[in-house]
Amino acid sequence: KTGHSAEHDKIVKEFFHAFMHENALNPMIFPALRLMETEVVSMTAAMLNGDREVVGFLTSGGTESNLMAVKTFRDYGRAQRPYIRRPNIVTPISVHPTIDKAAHYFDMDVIHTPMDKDFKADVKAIEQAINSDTVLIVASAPQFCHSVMDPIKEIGALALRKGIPLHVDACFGGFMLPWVEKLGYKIPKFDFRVPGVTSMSADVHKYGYSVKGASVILYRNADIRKHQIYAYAEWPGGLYGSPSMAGTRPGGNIASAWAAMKALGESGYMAKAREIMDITDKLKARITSIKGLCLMGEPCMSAFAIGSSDSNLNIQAVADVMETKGWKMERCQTPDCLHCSILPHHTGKADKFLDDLEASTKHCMDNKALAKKGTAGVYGMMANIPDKGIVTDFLIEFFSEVYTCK
Amino acid sequence: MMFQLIEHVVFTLVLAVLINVYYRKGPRYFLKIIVLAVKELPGVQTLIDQVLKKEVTSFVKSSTLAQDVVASKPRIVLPKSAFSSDDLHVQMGNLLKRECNTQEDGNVFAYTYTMKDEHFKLQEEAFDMFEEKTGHSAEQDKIVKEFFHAFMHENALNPMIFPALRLMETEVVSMTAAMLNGDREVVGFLTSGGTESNLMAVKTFRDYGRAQRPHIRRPNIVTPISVHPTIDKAAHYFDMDVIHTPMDKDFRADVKAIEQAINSDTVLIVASAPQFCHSVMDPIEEIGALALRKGIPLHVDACFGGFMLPWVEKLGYKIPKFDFRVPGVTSMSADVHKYGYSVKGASVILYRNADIRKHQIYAYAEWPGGLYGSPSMAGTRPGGNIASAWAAMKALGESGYMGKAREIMDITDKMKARITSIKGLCLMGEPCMSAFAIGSSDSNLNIQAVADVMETKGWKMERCQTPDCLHCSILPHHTGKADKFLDDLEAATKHCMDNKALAKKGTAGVYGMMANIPDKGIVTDFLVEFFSEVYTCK
Repeated sequence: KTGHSAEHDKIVKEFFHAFMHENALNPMIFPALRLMETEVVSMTAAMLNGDREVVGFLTSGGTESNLMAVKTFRDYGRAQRPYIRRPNIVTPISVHPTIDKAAHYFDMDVIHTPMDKDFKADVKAIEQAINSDTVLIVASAPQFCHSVMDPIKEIGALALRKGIPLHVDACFGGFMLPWVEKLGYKIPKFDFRVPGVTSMSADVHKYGYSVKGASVILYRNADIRKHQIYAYAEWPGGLYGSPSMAGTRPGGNIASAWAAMKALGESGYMAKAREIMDITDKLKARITSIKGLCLMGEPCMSAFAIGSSDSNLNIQAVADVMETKGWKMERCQTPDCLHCSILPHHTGKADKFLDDLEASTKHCMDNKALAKKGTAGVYGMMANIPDKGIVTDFLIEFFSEVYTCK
Repeated sequence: MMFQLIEHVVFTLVLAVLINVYYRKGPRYFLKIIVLAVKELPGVQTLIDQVLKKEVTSFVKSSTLAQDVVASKPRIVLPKSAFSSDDLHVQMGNLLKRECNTQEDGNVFAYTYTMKDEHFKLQEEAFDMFEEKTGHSAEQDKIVKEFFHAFMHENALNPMIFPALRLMETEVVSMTAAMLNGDREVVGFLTSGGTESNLMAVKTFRDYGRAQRPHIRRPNIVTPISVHPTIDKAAHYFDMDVIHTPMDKDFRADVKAIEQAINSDTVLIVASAPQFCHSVMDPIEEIGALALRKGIPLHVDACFGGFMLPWVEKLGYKIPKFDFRVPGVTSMSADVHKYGYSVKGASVILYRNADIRKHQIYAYAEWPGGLYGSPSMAGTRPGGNIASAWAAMKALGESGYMGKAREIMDITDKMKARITSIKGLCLMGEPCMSAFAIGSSDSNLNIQAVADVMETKGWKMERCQTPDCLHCSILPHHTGKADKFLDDLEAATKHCMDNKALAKKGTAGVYGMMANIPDKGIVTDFLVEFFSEVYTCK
């Protein structure tokens, strides 16, 4: 029931019956799914310190959440300022590529601002980059590359001052930071407690430990969220409405996301966070003691990036050696480093990883030629290519080749 | 003399610009400009493309994906007859061996956050409870579910970490392409559903159109009003216009109207095989010829019909050509999770060739987090959907699909025959395949009122507007229910003929009222308000 009045219920129910094709999520046919979705959103909003006004939707993943945020604020921006010719987003270079993808899809520009020397967003640079066509600022909590927190409070204050919406991409950190904070680690405010924040994304299928295919997009209030909803009234097939990018949404993902959160509860998430932070702290301590290695910036929560503190040591070469030992390393560029998300399956593997890492580092220090071979060599070459368009073309060619049945 | 002067001036200007760039933006940017300029020279881009292709192929050959690249492998098509469950279990084991075992090895630093523990098991149970059945049969459900569970843990974001997922995806695409009479050039991707397939087609042809004709200011799509709303949604997302053309009196796309609507900013024509409302086929051959003549891509939305029409055709029904046999067709979408009987969350988008498909791929090289590429809308993609789509097709094969199509067409034929015999009812146009729309042939009979009565008898009716009619997709779960439906329909019709006031009540009344609203914007606002209200936790 909508909870208003019997007459209201009646007319709304009639309209319910009046439409909805093609959408397995007809809320009247599957009221349980609708209930579960709204509860997942409500639990996530509360976890991120949003009040009762904060609303949102479930999506298929972080990409869809971020895409929807961008689309929403493009339309919101145009509604607020109809004179905007070509809307743009101002965001640090460390933001996840889904924001650039969104801009590409929705015909917008992205103005990338630099990180400071600690890999946090440079707030002054953001302020200078904002212009009259800016419809959105995006910051990360934390940014994925180095697991470093952007200064959300300062950016939020800036956003408020300029009257521009601020989306906080917490896809990675949304389901871990609240517990890390409660565990006593020093975490700057990053969520709806910051007044300038108008939206947040958080993936249930990362540290929410749900099955793949569940993420949450949250907006400060229902008026903003309406700009995400697509409605079309002129189809002969009937009235058509769709809350997010997908049409048909599998009921299974909604149910499992709901089950995942209910089954763990605060205590479950706290315990998991404690475990993972223990491994993380141990790794960080040992890594910083290995000659030639360092951590990039001040990583918060359960991830970090390993870099080289010695000009004789090429970190990509270290990754090559690690891969011969069976590890799959996540490589970053500009500057070169290795991203490590600490995950549940790392329990009991930390020591082996550290031993292998120490050995690999020593091996590379002693064999500087390795920096020119293997994937390290490729990364070195790519860093020298002045026109990144060639690299982009290579990536497209790669995907075109890989996704062909041979 | 004059010519030499101009030459000097131009040269000096270029030099001045370059020096300016060097001093203001630095040597790296200067080099970038030089490279970009060189790329503009004739032949250079082609040379670069050739080198890239060579580098990529050798890179792939030397990677974990190498064992999938076999020199003269026969083309992967739907097996003639179904693979047995035992066969598939063996194949499942082989596929799983290829994958990164994150739980056992713990050697990956991204992609999977779940462990195969009690918590995961609980989620699997919740998932099973609420995921729709494939609708084909209990055996199909079982094997599809097994595959889903086996790969549920995996993430298709990185094809190098989970090569079995990549293999299964490319095979599903290949089987679908062959089923739709595409040759070996036809390539595609798996998506989460028809919406994503259609969205990607529109995005691809927007970018393709712009690459071909950079002068386009605001790209538009020309398509009949009967096309699925995902096309309008796509245009809204990707900042394009849609020019809707009317249906003819038989509810097929009016080809002349499409021709007249095309202008210099048109980047795409979309036609449906069939259109969902009335299950009527658009004249794909004629539209294809028009598209070729005008040099405009044609996307055929076969989300609904893609996995049924090929069998209906093979069964002997008269189906006009609708797929890659029509030369003008540049892309098609087909949902595996409709008549392909896979779990929800699987559809295929196909393109005529790899060059067109490249415009769908998004690549970004400047992220500090590393090189990023993504073939479709989603980033992370659940492995379960890919695996179950693969299993669904292998477990049925041509014979399985034909058998089911025969069953469903029998029910459909029977229903169509009886409905046309009921006084006051008619079918809208000439529906092909396993669906149709029921309309009123009597001005005294309001079909929406009939639907209201049917709903009191427990049926959920799909209502269409302009003109009013009721859409019926015949699905596997209708086996054995046809007679009851027809009896109830006959009774409901008679009841409404005798009680004309019903046309003003219930949902029939709502539809009547809505038809009178001149500004559909009000209805659109209502829809937005409806979703806003419904998706709030109260």
